Amino acid sequence: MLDRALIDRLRDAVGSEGIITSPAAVQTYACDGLTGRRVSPAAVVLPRTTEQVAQAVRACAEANVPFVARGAGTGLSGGALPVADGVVIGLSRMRTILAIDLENQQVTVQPGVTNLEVSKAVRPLGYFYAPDPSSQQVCTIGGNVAENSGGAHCLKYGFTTHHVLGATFVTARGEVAHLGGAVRDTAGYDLLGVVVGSEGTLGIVTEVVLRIVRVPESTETLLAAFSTMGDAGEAVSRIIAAGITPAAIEMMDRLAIQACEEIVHAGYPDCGAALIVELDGPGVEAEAFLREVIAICSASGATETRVAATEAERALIWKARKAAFASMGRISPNYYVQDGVIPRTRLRDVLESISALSATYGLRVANVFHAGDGNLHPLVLYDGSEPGAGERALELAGLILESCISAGGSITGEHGVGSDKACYMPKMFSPGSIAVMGRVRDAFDPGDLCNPGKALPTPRLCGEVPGMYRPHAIEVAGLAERL
Amino acid sequence: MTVSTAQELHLFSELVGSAHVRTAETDDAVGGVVPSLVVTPGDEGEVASVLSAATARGLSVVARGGGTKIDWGSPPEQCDVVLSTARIEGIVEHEPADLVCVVRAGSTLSVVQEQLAAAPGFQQRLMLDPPHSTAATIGGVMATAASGPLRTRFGTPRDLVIGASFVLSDGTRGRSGGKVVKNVAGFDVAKLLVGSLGTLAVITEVAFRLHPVPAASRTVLFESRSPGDLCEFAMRVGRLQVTPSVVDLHWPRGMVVARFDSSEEGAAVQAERVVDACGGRILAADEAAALTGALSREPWTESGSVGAIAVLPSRIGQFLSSMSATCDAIALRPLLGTGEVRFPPEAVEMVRSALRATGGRLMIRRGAAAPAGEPDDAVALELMRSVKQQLDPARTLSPGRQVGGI
Repeated sequence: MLDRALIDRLRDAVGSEGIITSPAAVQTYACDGLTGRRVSPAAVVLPRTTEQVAQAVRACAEANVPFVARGAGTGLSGGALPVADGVVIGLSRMRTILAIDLENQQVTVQPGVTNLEVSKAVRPLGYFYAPDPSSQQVCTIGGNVAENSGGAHCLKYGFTTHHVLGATFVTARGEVAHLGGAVRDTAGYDLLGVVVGSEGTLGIVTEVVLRIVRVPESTETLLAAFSTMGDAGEAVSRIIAAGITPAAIEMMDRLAIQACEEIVHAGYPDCGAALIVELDGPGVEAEAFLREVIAICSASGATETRVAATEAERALIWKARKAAFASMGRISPNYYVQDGVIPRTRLRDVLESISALSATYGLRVANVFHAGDGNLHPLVLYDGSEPGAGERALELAGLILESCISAGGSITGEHGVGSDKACYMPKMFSPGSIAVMGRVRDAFDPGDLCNPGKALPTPRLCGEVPGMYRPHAIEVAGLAERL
Repeated sequence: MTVSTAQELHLFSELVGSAHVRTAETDDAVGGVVPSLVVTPGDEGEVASVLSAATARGLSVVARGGGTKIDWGSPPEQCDVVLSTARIEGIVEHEPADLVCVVRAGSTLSVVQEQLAAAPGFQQRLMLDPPHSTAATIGGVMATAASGPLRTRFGTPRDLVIGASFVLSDGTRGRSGGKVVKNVAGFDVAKLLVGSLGTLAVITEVAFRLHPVPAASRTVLFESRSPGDLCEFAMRVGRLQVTPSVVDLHWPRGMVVARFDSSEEGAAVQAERVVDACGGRILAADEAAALTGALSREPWTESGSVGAIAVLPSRIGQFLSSMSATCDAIALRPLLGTGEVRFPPEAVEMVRSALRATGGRLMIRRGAAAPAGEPDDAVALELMRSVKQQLDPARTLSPGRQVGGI
């Protein structure tokens, strides 16, 4: 329960229509895309301006009450999980595109603007916003900044951190700072660089200046079929070795292809592994690289190569790929999605170890991943009605992460650490490294009020066992997919 | 040598070996402050010992790589020990098929590029070309956030670093990131170190994303005596559906150079498109190489103060018009609104006010007796102080070099 005085101050900050305290109504905000973990906040505030956010934060800080910023709640690592008896600051009403500055190739938006809205706003002018997480129809720029979101095309275009020029930032004490900005090269430390990807633990961004990119003249999309994942992996290595940087390289294994075909009917060949390779740039350039990539795929044992001849064919290839997670429901009652990264060169070893783990645990694993940058999304399939199956699936998913770490990779490529993986951090970073990150956090939020318990391990958190996956309401409604 | 210097020489000799500690000379001065000792640790463990010993004794330490940018930033308030990274060098790992490398901080950029180029069966490099890049070290380039013409396409060290190891002044050894390009685990501490001017930690190792060396290049040259025409050309290139690696404007030469790196077909078609739409001419390969070589040293070629500037790209024309007579040499990246200018030391306030008038800022790189940069935002400056306080509470590392006297 919140102190009456704090509720009054929050109401003063955001108005009566901007605060939710009813125990039933706050349930909407009890989880993000990691639906297995739920915590009810004491109150939710829905500010419309930077000043309202700052006032709400000041009220919380002065009352020593923790607060959690939230965008659309599509995150998959529990980064927006509320703190019990704390306040959620929902930014969904801050959804105005404040300025489009074509001359300087940048736009300024409020944090509740969705990722896709940015591209939609500038597309008619010949520009787009490059980071494209699969949830881009619903996920917000504020959430993207918190998670340093990627997407299929970050292989060529980079991540959120490469596209954020500046931010208006409410500190954990409720002061307003301007980090970076429309003009590059702020004097002093690159605070924005550490805020992007800090999972909402350092403060709250309330305005963001984004870099926009010219739409490429031409895009070529290739679908290549291989007998084995090893052959497909070999083709990826050869494409990279040839000095080609495709816009995207995605890979799916047989199980994932079969599941996708059940719902999308995109006409993927029945094969051991499929690669989607996308090349963009001036027409002549994209075509030249496409010819080279086709030759490399054939030399690596591709059994079939197919180039999308029309925009509709291209869209269908991507639709199947993006439906990969959702389609798992056709072949399994439940699944757990993992997000690990490995060096590309270790692909064969890690896939072999995933396959061995799958056999040991008697659970199927479908593999879908961003092959170009080694970001694996193994989907561990299980039947939740079978006693202990959920626990076994989580254990298997955890062992997959450990094989990513021992291959020299990472515990998360794009979903974030959140509350889900905080306890894996010590497997990847030394106590000294985690201590330094903790000191950075303390520099921004000495009171540990801003999204506490996320991103970095805490003894309390690491004593808990994560829950099982349950689909989020927006997934059930078909508004977003897990990728 | 004072008694205390003799004691310190003995102390650091115990830690890194007497062959790697010497008394400092005038040439070792940092921003005019002459240290007592130069200590050259051999590995990260020795860096940690040196830093904790210095902190325990209240000594200030300035880390130095090639020394090519040692004057960037304000002069240190105090400098007792120069910590040279000269022995912490070499490539730790280069996996060409992954397009990543891990290098020790004291390695020079030029040696790193040579070794990367020597990998059999691959053609790749680190897409950084900061000033003085022959002697510049990886650690120094990180600490100064130095970049060159390639910034237009590939960014600064912050955009290419994927992980870093470092030592804090209390001897804590830390790492952030890793050696994979895509990774969101933990805070991106490496980004705080880029441009920190050595005030937060001593960088010992850096992991970078690499890029393939392009198969072909084409360079378009546009010449004019009109600052307005030069800027207009650059901005028009920026609006085309092309991906230049370099778009640099040089004054008083009166030139814009736009370079396209891609496949043979890709480079040619982009260069032709620029000439058709915006003018200029495509240079022959040898002419392009000679010109690029000459331009890469601008504006550092002659004596005078040098400052880095930043304005909105749309204000570059205004800045250039107002400063074309005051500055002796101007090298700009118009599409980013950044660049470096050389001017007589007495003109520093004129340059600064011209930038203020265009909503931009000046950061001194060489020669002017003025603060290296100005904080933009009071709350942000407080956060910066707080970061310094957390990571280097004793203010051992390069005190006073960062904005606001941090």
